[in-house]
Amino acid sequence: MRSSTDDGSGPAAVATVPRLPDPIEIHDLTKRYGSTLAVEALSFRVAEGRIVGFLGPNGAGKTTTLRSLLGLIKPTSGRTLIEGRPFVEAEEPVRTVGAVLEVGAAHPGRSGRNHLRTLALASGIPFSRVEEVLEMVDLESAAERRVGGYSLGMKQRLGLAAALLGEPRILVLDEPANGLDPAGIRWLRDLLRSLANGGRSILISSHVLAEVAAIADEAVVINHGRSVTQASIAELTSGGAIGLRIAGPDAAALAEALRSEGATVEAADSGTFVVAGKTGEEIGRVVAAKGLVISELAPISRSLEDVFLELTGGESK
Amino acid sequence: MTRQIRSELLKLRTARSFIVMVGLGVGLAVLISVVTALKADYSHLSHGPSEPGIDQISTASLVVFFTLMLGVLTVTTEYRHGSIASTLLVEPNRRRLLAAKLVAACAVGALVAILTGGICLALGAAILPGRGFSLGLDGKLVAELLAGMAIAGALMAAIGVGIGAMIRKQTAAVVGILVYLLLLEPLVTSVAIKSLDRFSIGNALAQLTSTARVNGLDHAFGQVTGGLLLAGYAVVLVLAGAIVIQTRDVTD
Repeated sequence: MRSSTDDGSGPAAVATVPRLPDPIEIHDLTKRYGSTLAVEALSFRVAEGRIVGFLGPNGAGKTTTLRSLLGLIKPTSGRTLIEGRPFVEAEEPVRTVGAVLEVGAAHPGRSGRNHLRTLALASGIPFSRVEEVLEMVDLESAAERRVGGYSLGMKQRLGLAAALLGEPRILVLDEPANGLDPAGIRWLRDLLRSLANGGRSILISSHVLAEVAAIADEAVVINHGRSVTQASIAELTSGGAIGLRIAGPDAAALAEALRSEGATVEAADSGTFVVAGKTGEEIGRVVAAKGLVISELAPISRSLEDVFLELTGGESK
Repeated sequence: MTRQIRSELLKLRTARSFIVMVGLGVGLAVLISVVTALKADYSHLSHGPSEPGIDQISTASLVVFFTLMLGVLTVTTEYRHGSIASTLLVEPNRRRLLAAKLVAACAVGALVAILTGGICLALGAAILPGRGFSLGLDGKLVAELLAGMAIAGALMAAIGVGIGAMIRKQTAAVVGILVYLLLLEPLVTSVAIKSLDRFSIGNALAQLTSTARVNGLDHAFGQVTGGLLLAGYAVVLVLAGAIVIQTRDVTD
């Protein structure tokens, strides 16, 4: 992923070799619904083989952005490109992009198998591929049942099966973990990682930040329709350790001793404290000097959730 | 385009709501046709010798209101259940998608209407002789009546597709078109502006299916002109629907 200001210029040699378009490019996207500004001047890219998390509070403009990317919503201004051209101009749409935008977006009176067959028929994909994706998402046994009787998780799997039907080079997923049980979430994580390892680019929006942190290489954070930050997950969470967690029978005494030496100490769980302003070595010296017993001394890093809440002003709902 | 049409035909075949609706339309038309053949008094044929046969087609023509609904549902169902997004991911060209839906709905509409017409005529031919009457149709007239049914079924389905593309809310589209056809248009053309009656959808339909001959309507308009008028309505509504569907955001 590159920021919108990265125009690919740099060493002179680069100028002579035209850069191939990234799989996904959003340029200055703005979408206004009447007086409501849903997305404003949003720009980002997704590079080949990368999984990019697309994060923001509810109403931040994530779904509007994804739908604009897929030609479902007409931008007020700006451009959205898939492999260098608007999605509606793709020669083989189903082999270019697979997407999950809404859970259970299928006729409730049609069976899961027939839903996939209608999509396969429209795109010239053989019905044997329908059976393959049904097996891939573990829905073979429910394939003849009507979609209206599916659980939320089954509908989500059906959506993923539809997205994978054409073995697309790019996946766009809006909250794909919704409705999946823990085993399903792990299955999804492994699936997406194996797809990305196979060179596919994946843009995944989610409000389950731990899931994004576990799956994505990079993240785009938006708030009120504007880009807040775009960076790798490692960069986002590397803003320094928050502090050190100490626990044990003498933790309270240690906390007192550290406070007297100017450290900031906050009680966490029962018998556990978080210390800021002292290094592990400094804390270790106090422990030794006072002859205290502790069972844990561990650094605490910023989580993606911490970063997200900082960036969005704690607006996550 | 062929792939999209086949996909749309599969959608119509595999969703129970479409099958139930078409079955209901055919069943209702056939039921009224049987009652008509069993009860109608044809001792005095005030509208000519073909009156019993045209009566049978008249009851069969009820089914075109169901092909109209079929056309509406072909489009609105996609919005109602949110499947329009996955459909447009496979075929992002909205005009091509609408054209595929139009062809599929018209083909099914024509087939359903001609089959219903054929069944009603066959039932009339089976029942009426037992009561001392006959259909009173020659081969040429039977062909004209069935052709009129097929074209009416297709054109009403096309009108439904156009309406569905314009009004994506299914209930509003279905109620709106039925209120217009069954209440508003008859009211306006029979009470308020009688001169418009000739150009109403109802009259075009009656002329095309030849039922105007026995319904006390002026049938000088003729089957071909009625068909052209109904086709005009279909073209205008489908073009309007194409413009709306092309420009409208898909937000759900």
